[in-house]
Amino acid sequence: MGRGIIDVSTCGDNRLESRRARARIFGAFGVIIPLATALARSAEPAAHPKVEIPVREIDPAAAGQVSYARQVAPIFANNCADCHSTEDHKSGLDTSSVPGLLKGGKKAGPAIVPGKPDESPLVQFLRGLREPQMPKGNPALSEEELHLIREWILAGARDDSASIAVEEKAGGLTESGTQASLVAYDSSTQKALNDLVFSGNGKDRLIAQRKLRLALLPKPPEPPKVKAPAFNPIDQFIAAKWEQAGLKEADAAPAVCSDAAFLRRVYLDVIGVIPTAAQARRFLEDTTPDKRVRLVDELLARNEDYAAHWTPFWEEAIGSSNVGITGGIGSRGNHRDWIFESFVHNKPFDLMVAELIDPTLPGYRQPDIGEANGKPVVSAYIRNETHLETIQSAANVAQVFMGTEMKCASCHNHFLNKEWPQTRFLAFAGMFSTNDLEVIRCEQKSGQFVAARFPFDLPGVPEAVPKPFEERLHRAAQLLIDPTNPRFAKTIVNRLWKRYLGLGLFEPQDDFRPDQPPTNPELLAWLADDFMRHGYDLKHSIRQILTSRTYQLRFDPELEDHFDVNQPQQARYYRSPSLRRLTAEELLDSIQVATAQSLDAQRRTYLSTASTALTRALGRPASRNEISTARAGDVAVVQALELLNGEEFYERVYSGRVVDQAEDEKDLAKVIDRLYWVALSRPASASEQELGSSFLKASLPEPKRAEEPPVEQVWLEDDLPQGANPGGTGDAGAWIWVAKPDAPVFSGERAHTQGGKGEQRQHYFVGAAKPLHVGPDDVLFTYVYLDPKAPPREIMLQWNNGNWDQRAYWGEDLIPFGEANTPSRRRLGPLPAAGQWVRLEVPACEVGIAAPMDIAGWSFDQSGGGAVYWDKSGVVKNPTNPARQPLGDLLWALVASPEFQYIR
Amino acid sequence: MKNSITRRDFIRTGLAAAAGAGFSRCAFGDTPAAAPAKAAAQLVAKADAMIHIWLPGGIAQTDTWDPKKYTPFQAGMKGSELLGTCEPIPTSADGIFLGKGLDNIASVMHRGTILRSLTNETKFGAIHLKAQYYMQTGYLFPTGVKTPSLGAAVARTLGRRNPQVPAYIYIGRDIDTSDEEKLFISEYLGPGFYGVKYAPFMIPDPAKGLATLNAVSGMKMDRLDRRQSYLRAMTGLAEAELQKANRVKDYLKVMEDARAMMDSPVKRAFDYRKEEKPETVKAYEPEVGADDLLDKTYYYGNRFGQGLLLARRLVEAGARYIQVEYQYGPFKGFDMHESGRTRMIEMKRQVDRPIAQLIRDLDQRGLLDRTLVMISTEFGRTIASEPAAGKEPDGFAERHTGDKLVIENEKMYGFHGHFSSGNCLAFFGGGFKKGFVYGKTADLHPMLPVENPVRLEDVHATVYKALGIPADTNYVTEGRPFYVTKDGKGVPIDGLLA
Repeated sequence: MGRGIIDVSTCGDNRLESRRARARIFGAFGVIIPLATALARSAEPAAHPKVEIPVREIDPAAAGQVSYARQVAPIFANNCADCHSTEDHKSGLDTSSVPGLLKGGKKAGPAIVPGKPDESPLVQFLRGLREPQMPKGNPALSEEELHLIREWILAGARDDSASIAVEEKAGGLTESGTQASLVAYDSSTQKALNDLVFSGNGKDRLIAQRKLRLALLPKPPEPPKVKAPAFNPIDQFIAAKWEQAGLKEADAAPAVCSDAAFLRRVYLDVIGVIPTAAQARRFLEDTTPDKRVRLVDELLARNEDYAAHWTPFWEEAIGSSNVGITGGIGSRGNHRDWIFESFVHNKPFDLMVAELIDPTLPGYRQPDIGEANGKPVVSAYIRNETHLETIQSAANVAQVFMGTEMKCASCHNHFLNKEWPQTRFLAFAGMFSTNDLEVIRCEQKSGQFVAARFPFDLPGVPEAVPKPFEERLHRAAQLLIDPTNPRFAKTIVNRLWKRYLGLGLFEPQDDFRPDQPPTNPELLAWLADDFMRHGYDLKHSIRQILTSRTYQLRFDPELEDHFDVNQPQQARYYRSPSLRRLTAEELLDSIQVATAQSLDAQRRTYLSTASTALTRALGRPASRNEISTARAGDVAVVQALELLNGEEFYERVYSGRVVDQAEDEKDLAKVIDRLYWVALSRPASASEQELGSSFLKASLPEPKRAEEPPVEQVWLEDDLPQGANPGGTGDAGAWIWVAKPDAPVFSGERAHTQGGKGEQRQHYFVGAAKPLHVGPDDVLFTYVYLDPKAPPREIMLQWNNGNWDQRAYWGEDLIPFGEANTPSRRRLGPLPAAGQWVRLEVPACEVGIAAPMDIAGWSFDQSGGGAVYWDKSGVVKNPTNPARQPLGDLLWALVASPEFQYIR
Repeated sequence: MKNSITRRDFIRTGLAAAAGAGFSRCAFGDTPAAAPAKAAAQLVAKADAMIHIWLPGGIAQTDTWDPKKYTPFQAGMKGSELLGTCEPIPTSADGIFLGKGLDNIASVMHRGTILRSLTNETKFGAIHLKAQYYMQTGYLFPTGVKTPSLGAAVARTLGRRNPQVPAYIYIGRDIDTSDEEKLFISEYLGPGFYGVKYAPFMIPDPAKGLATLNAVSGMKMDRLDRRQSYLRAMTGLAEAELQKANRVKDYLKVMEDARAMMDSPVKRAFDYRKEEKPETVKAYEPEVGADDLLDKTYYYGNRFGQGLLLARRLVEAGARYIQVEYQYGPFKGFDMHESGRTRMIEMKRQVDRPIAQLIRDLDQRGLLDRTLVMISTEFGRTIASEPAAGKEPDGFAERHTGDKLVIENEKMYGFHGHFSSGNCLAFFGGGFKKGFVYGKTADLHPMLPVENPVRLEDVHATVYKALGIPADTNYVTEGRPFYVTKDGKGVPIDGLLA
């Protein structure tokens, strides 16, 4: 492919850099950015052998549509400006302007003859009809490029730069192709208002800014009239594309999904968990016609659950960390609770984003200053202690909030996306730094600094960026969220669209390219406008999407859209939603709802700081050092093995109450139906009943249940079990055996108590020669006596099966072992009454014993001081319910099935 | 034709080439099918498998791979006088000496190469995690990308050797944790943007094998199979649309693959206690137990030693890349900031015999030539900069001569400063030279490389070359290539290869 390839391995290739240095880039925003010209000029290039460019007939009507500013000038800029610019015009020819072309050069006189393309010397040189063929030293123009130039000349070679600039400067991005129209403020009022807005600080200013600046927006696209049924404008924009593309769905719209599919989809999409069986039944049995809309509203009103579902997404998008400093490395700060609260209160999105960046806002996320190895370490969303950190922070802001990938432009001009020469990116990054940034190209410092500047020219904004750092950040935030910022609103509504439909209106969602228009730009523009005009209210736009007919279409793999990075222009029609995999959080939380039949907000996965083999296999990152806006949803053997054989997955599925309750039901059909409602939120069909029934019958042993009564097995009473090694607070003195009359005793001769000192104490043993065999139906027990004159604040029991992972406690949550609200630290109630012997019972399932386990150690812990006595301890062996395993297996299969694992 | 490549052009040709592995940026014009064949012709792999013995903490090279003069402790001696806390001992390779305590490894030195002159400009200071990240990925944190580790790159590029054995296996590291440092580490050991398909199969304790290859305790195999066929059957009753979706088909396929792995004869590789002679298992034990250590709570000796035995068996069964770690802990193990001499004696006893036994076993089985064993750590050590051992405030030594340091007691006697400027690696088998030393360091502090200093990206390129992977192999993320050596610029050091 020859010289068309830009070889980044040789960045600093002077010839290449100089050619680019000479080019003037015309972005879609009317911004002209001269690139660094500090590099050496190239030597005179050699002529290339003549290339015959195909030429075709010009349609005069089409020719009239060609825009000099948008289409023709860039061709000259990219191909001719090296040698024929205002500074350097070989043969006296300046191609950088229309007057320049009309004036022409020494060799051939005027380069263009308006109305006569083929008599224009320019065209003749381009075609090689006159030698040397142009551009000299560059590959010849393409057929399309030549055609555009000829069209433009035929139509009169008019210069429309001035009108384009006015249009774009006033109206912001017009990628949808609609004409900008200005709202009528007189210019002096507008100026005064702009001044007001751009000085001072505060949340109210932000809202005022938004109100005023909204007035500058062009009218949004009008939802088109369509034949297909439409619940709201979204459907109209979607169907219009079907009509345009001549798809049969334009006349015969795809069907909406069943109530069962809608129910599950919308529960997962809004609150991140499936419904309980009761909630599912209620919805499916409801016959009112607007029940779907009411369900959307009902779910959106569940503020905490809604917020819990959003939190992990934003934690990853901003790189929120669980701790400030890890191994001496500072982080972006811990924003989890702030994110959660922001969504609970449905904080306007522009305000939320600004609070990450703008120190002048009352809700600003203050940096946290810690210390490591004697040095202060700052944790903050915007990190700027080094050049590298500054540019990464800027790149993250651009990626997440403007859907624009600038990372490549950190170290050299973005060689794939002409929008981003390095200096343009560094100018943006400079807004997050105390000083302007130096151009460091491929790790070589250039000594050249770039003035801080927002990459998009927004109307009414002063050119100069404030110098004081706080004001600079304030300005960056203002411009980022400004309604006229072409990308901020579009990026977030695109993310919403992708979240609920599976693929964005532009893809990749982090990399908007002006040269790759979104599929359905009108819908994108309308959604963005609607979002902004409703106060950047996420719930408003979410509701728009979820109540549209498009969202409710039936899943159809033949109609499903795909995004192929090799063919990014391929249109997406949204005639079916795209199949989506449940995230790790959605999966585990839904299993928790299925097995407990209630949503315990405290047990949601996002609250856990632990990472396990299961959560990692399901795609939950172990740490959030690098930001991310999407989970991959990949399948892999390592993941399947966890679902198949992982202890954690087993415990989560099998130890729920739902299996317990099902055990008592004798009617197999009812059991199967119940489990289908619980897992898949629908009844089992007749064939599913039949299959389930034969599975259960094959798995269940004799119908007669074992009639043995429960057996109480005492493990320790007056002595440690044989072979046990004691230990605890106070080492040798940890275990104190006491007897009457000095201390209370429940049974036998002695009781035991803790002999050490301190607020939090324990005494335990490990290594019993004959371990206690405990199964999921069993109940562990112990007897405890709290001294009424000196009661503790918490008591805890721990069991050891090789690890200390099973814990139950009563009272306050002071002892920090394990993870709160998990079997590794399960609260079973308040402190028992003091002054009497109380029998404490711990069902094995509560502490995660879903499969039989050998316990070889037991620990007695207390916190908050006080005196606690313990006596007889052991396990009550309940007859193993033979139905537990088969029912659990059935539930496992339901949960492992694709219908559970995917949203469709 | 335009004079610049559109993103579309790059993606179409570059990605297609990168679908297997993007071998060279200049391969844009080649058809995708040609690219792998072309690369294969360029590089002939000398090794089929790799065992990476990862000993983090920062090993004092002066007491191990690059011994200097033995300078015994004398109260009041200057730091600049402390050149070695142990004697250099001769090895089975003429002219090559190792630190006393590595006697077993010394006896197999004729099968391997020591690289003594790895250096780099970046001073990691006190931050182990950044140095480890660099060693494992070849990139400096933060990169702005979820950077894959060496093992994931090998797994993705070369794939499995035996279809039943995972390509990337990790032995000796705990999995479940909420400790932030461990979480950070698990990210850099992971597949990064490659995704979960290239994640390591973790084996924290070799004695327990790969936990998920066995059914949950209490689950009998006939029950497991009944459950599996029920899953298959009830999925077949699901909505037709769901069954037709490709993603669903992939999901069901990996479930079946996972089930099949459980029956694979490869499982026997984990049964080393049953299948190996007791003398062999014993030979992999460290020569010191938990009770003998200064820090009794930090002992991974058996996990490490048996992990090496397991690694050997997995290579025999057809594994591709196995990393065995003596699990890192801040200030534990090799991360010595006091009592360096004593602790080095302990740590050498932990690793010396097992490693040597691994080399011997591979050799005896004729596997050593095609199996690359690499032993690495994140940086070397030097004398501390401050009298208060272990409390240096300035990011730890680096270029000190040690004149200002006075070693008053045994606790201060040892190499307690981090030394990013000088690090050693050892290579056995896999096409590397035998009985060879590459590079030389100064004999006095700072003991910087004075001959043949090498960069990490070149070391990585050499390892990749031995495995048959070009240094500019890359995979696309966020629309741009990300290379397995830093920016694709690694150059193999042919002087290391036979």
